[in-house]
Amino acid sequence: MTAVAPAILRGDGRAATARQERGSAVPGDLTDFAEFVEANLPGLLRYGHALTGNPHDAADLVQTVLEKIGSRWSHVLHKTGDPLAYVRRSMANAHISRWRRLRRESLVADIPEPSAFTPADPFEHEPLWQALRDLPPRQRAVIVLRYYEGLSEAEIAASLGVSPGTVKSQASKAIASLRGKLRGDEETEGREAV
Amino acid sequence: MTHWEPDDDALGDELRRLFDDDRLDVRPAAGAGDAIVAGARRRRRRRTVMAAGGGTLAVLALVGGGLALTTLRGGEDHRHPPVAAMPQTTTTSPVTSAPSASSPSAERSEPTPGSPQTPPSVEQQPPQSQPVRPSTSTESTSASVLADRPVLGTDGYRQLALGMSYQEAAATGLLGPVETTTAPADNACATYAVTDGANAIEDVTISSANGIVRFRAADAATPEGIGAGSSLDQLRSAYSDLTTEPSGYSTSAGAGARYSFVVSTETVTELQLVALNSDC
Repeated sequence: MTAVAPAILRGDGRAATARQERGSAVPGDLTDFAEFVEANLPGLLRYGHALTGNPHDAADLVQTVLEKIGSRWSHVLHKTGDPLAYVRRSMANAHISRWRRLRRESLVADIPEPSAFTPADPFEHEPLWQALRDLPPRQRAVIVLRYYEGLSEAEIAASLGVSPGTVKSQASKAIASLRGKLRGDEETEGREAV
Repeated sequence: MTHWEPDDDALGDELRRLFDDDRLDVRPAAGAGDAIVAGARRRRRRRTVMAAGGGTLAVLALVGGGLALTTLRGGEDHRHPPVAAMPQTTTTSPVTSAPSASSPSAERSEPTPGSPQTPPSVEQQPPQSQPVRPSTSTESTSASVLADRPVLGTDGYRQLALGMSYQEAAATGLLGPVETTTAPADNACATYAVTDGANAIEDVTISSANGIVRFRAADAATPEGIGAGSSLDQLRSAYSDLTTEPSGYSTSAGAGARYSFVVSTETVTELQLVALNSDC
């Protein structure tokens, strides 16, 4: 695992080489992409887990985003100095827009039955994790970018393409509903005897 | 750096602890990396073939891609090969909450929290009223790269046009597997994948009242060459009348629609064509 940091640097360092290959029809630079994926997959899956709330959606999200970015890899290296940051921002945005799409679909069709085999949620006894589950994805993304990535308000605004004011209001809504949910849980537990 | 309101006391600590928990780890399945690289290659090959339009380049790309794929077979036929192994913690997870943040696993520390490669926030910049600059040599080279992309025009993509009813759209044969799609219910909207193999359009949204009201581009770009991956600078040079939106920018696309650009870290991450009469 100590190989992670150097691998990122290597990815950056190769940007110059990849740039020369831009426009080539031969997918040569995908070797770099393969190294990038190999080095960063565990971290990205973990981040996806925090964003989506479960390992399946995390894998789905990571794969979709990486395939898209990989298909334009030399372009991405050329455009952004930090492909890893770019991937993470794309994941946050893809997660938000995917949810929007699913919600639209659910207006006309029932949400498909959950698959027969659902593995146990490792966090099922964590009230905070359960409370996070109920946040709309943009609020959840703000919370993850803030407490997982440690980004500032302005950085989150730039990442998600929204105004700092929106970040602030989404964050305080999220915090309030997490608080309310945690408090509510305590209260219901207290009242169960009644 | 903007400072957060001091609402991250105990709850903030709890959140940090939770996000630092080892149980968040998801183990990649064996061969997951290969599957992803193969997927990226497949996407690119489709695009290259489309762009080259039957020239020898396309043949070369096909041969190159095909050869490579035979050595990278893993998960080629699956839409979603198992990228993640099931979390090993399912049976052994401690029921009590884990002790606080003392497990900085290697991959957790990789993002260098707060690494602000993010440039200063987008809307800080004063509205630039400079009209479209005459293109310089660097811009024309990047434009020519983008010009190879499939185009999402102001009225739609290929035979799919804004305002088209579900029946008309389905009749083009470009909508997702027809057996499994149904028309949007009354007063509702539904979203359909576009399956012409070009990966140009992610999906279209059809309203029962107004027909196709939205295209979400995958690889497709506007006629001006702006699409996912374009820089904010390229976006600004291509359109002088951008309107700021919550998630990015928009500009008019013909009389009845707008192009909407989702922008993140100075890069366009998604292009949409949205009808003005969209009720979705």
